[in-house]
Amino acid sequence: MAVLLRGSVISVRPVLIRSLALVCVILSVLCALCLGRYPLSPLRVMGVFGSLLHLSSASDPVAQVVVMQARLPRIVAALLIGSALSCGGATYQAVFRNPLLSPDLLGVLSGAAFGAALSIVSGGSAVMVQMGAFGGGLLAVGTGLLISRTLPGGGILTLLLGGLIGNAIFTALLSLVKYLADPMDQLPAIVNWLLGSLASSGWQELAWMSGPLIVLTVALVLCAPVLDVLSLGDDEARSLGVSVRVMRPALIVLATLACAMTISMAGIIGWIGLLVPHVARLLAGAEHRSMMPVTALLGAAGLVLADTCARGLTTGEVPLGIVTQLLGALAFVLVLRRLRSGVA
Amino acid sequence: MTLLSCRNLGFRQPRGDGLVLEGIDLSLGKGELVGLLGLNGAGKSTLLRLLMGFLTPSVGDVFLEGRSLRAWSASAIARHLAYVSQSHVATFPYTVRRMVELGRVPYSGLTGRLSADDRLAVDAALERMGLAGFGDRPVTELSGGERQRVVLARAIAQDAQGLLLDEPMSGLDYGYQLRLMALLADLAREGRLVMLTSHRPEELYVRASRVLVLDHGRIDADGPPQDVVTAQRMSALYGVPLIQMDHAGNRFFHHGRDEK
Repeated sequence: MAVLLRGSVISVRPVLIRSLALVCVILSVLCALCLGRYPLSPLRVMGVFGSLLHLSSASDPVAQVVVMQARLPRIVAALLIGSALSCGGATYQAVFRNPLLSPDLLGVLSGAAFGAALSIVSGGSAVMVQMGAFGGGLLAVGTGLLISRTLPGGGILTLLLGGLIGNAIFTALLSLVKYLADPMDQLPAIVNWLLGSLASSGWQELAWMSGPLIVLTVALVLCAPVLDVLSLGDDEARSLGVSVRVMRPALIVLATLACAMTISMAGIIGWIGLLVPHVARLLAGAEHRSMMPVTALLGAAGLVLADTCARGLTTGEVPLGIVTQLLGALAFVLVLRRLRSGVA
Repeated sequence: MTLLSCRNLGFRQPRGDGLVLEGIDLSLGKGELVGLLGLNGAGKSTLLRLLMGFLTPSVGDVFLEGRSLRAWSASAIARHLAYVSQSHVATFPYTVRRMVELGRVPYSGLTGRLSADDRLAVDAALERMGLAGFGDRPVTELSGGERQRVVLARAIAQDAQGLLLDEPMSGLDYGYQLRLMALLADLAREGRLVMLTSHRPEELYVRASRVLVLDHGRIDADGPPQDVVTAQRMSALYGVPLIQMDHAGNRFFHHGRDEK
């Protein structure tokens, strides 16, 4: 499908797919605002925004508290985290030329888990746990990269091996902290944190986390054309004039920073970074310029829906990490079936 | 006119002891079709990668249009030299057109926006490689030979004066091999430098204007195919007795009897 505009051909399909993905985001946000233990009709939700914007004089204090204090900060956090994790995953898959990778490849998860667990055991506040997770994630990736530099060979495989070793070290350290933790209160706190949740998301946290996370996600989307070149292989990328030595670490750093930030905000949320790029590729094609914006939008919508399930399925709250693992694994079966049947 | 040259070129693996390549002096001109023969592990791919600037020489230097490669920016080199590697694994199902469009990155930059000239070059490259109707096909669905054509189309779209190919015939069926050599000869006739590594001396004899033999990291022979691709030299290189037969401008070898 293409139209001719001032002599240049513009394809309609990518615009259509992006618009549909945006509609998905809007619908998921609407669902998340309305559904929950205290269901609200779309009209009441609109009423809250209407009175906030001084468009209507009617006030609905209960709905206002539910929407503005309980649901909206979680939704905004889910939008940001979902898109950052998905774009990070797509970046890792292209840079390492392996579509089965997720952004935790180089040990950011085990490092973040270790950092958070250490903060919990040493009695740190919620902010300290967040900072511990962020620092631990970066420390683990840094360790993996340093190890890879000491190995002979160079290239992607060496990087992966370094990451694998770094991952193993921090998984062992995490186990040590768990072993030493007080089994009555510290150990459950660590396990809970590892399961991932958006329950503690608030405006205060978003105020200082959202800016950097948006910048990182937008940077990853803007780097999409580079990913096409890097995914061809080192020599091919060099022969096209792209500096692999600069671009590959830069993209790994961007994706890892984004991933570490999401972990510090919500704990470990699996599968989004692996699954969403595949869905986006099925819909928008493999070219990263087309699929990255769709990846960001679908990741945002997907995590908002998963979080709505997490807090709405039962009277209590199911940890978000469990919901994304379950839904992600099931959805991945469908994606693989479509891929294998030659649809994409 | 010389496009690419090297002086006293040598290369040592990062943690290796001795030099893998040593004392290589070459001057490669536009319009030449240069074949590079050598045993597996003789350093053919390393030489190509040094000439492309992917590896930094341990000794000596490589010169593009008389200026050291170190003085050129990566994208400027890419506008002068295109490279086709030995193996192409299609990880993602990019369309054939997108793969060929990537050949224009040295001109358009990494924004992904193509000018009218870029589009013309891409269309011409697709047409030339017989891929005009393949534009929307995912590369993952193509056969090895078709994929090789896509990679060559990308190199042609790059519009470079030098084209360096690392064993471009490996994995291709016989028909594709012959067509590929004819195409490379055409590209050289148009004034490009074409250099390829190969394990097929008979094909190089017919098509190449110059043949190099790399042995134990040194250039052992360099000259027109009639002088280099001989039974005596090929027997010594490959370690098997060969008998040579010349017929209608072709030279064939067959396995002679081992002396006992």
